[in-house]
Amino acid sequence: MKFLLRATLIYLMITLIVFGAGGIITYNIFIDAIQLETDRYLIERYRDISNYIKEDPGFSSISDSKIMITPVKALPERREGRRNRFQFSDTLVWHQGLKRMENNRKLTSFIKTEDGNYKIEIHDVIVERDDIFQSVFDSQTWLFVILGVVMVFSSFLISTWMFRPFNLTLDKIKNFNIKSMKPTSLGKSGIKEFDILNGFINQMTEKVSTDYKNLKEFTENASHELQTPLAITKGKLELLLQQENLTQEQIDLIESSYASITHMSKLNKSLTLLSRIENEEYSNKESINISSELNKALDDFSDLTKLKNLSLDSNIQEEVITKNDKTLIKVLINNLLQNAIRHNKEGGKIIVSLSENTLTIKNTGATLDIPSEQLFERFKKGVHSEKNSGLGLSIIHKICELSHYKISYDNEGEWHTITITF
Amino acid sequence: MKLLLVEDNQELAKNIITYLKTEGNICEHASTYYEATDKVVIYNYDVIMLDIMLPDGNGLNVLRELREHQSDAGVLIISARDSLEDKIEGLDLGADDYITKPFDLSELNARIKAIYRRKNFSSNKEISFNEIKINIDSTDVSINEDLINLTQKEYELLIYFLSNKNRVITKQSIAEHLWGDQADMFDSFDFVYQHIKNLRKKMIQAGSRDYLDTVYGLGYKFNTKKS
Repeated sequence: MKFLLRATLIYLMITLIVFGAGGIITYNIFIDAIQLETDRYLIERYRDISNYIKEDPGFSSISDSKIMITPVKALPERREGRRNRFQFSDTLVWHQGLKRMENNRKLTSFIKTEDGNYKIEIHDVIVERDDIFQSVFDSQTWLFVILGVVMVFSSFLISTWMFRPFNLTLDKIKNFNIKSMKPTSLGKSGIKEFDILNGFINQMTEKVSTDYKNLKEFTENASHELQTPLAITKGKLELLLQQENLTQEQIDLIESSYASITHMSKLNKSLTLLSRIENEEYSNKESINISSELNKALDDFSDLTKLKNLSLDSNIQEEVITKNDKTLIKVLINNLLQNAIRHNKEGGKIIVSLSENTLTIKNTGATLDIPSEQLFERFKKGVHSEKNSGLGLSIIHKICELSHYKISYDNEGEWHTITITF
Repeated sequence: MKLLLVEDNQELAKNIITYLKTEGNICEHASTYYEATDKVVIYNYDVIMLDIMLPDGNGLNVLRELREHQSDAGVLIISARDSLEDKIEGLDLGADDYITKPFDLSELNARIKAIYRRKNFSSNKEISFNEIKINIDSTDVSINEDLINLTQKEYELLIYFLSNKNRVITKQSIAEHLWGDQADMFDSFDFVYQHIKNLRKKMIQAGSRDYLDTVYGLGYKFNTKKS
């Protein structure tokens, strides 16, 4: 639900309560005002009548069904205060025209003349309470409906007109791609809050873009610059090895340094490869026969599978062609096979199958000791394989991502399956 | 062999020169592009090791210079970048081989010798050492004139050893030489051991001396002092 629509609805709910309370107040004010007017009118009538009575004791001129004059023997004792001269009450009187009982307001008072004492009762129709209630209710309802319609309608107008710069900002953020390294360029909208927001977003995307660029350059340069010192160290160790009369202890020390240097340079190469794939340096698309590439790779790896006593089954459809960079495909296939061999167990199995648009590599191996969703992340590796770089699957994943291939991992008992859909 | 090393990093240059000089090679050194072009124009070399990233210019221009002067020196490109384009461009310009930093000195040495053999094909078809004779052309190996039957890997291994006589060669270096990038797959180097064992057995059976010494935990050495 849109922000403004929701705000409008909440506002309308509050308005409903206020309108309800307002209705009750209006109703009571109406009742009071009407009663006051009626009472005043009745008092006026009484004054007229009392004047008549005083001037014309026979009061023949008074003939009104709404006035009743009855002689009384004595006046009731006056109570405290002048106001009590008039007693007001509500009563029901038969209405001749409507043929029903109607609510009336009645004034009762006593008068003393030379002829004697009289009780005077005057009544008149007053507006009924349920009529007042009905009209108040109706008017409040109509007001509320009109207000509601206007509010909802205007909220739509405002959200499209006022929120246009905001929606523009949202669109720009949505389309922001860190890899393009282009910060968003959001202009002035004329609304202070949006301008502040746009400013922040511009700054942020600019920072993110430069950070990303620096990080990328750092990875490239670092791994590149490391190659020479690594080569020097490696060479020194090799020269050291050529010394006569080395003790076994010294040899062991050299050996482990040498192994570490080798590992480091492999890691370095993998990182460089990964960043170069990310930089899309391999974008020389051509038609590649995956079937023959795969067969060639399987042949290259036959030494390794033999060493680990792995049995290899392959079911490769001939002449499967894809359009991609040759290096990428080679790296992809090599990494997949390496992965299947490296994480296999002694005497395990590998099943490679290639069909028109799917490549599946199944291998036996120990169960994963990392969650499978982290499998493709950098440097995520199990405890059993400290010797490898931990970048193989990231490289595979990156290539698939860039080539728009779908990659999935599946685990069933000791079988691990990686499926790539071209 | 007369060699020229074009490399701006002094330490790396020192390593290479130390390693190569022990075999009686003459190894000169140029650390700038300017120096390198100067040398290649004046002198003749058998093999030039060329770092293509030099402080004052692209090493590939040295190659162009060489071609202009119709030099027949073999060229091995040394690069810190494992980039296919560099490789292709270098080989197109007439380089003979390409090696990426960091490399094993034994590997560098073997590559230089391979280039040298190829360049001097007519005179130097054969590698021979005492009773061992290898015909590069036909890949025949004979011990005391008797042909022995080696697998492709055993053959490569023997040449690698003969290129680096009396040098300790690490298992990693052997693995990398034989299997390239796949070498990092070897959790243990039993595999290398298997191939060495087979090679040694075949050679001894054919009457060769046992030249292959094991340096425990580290690698192997082709020891010429065996009698």
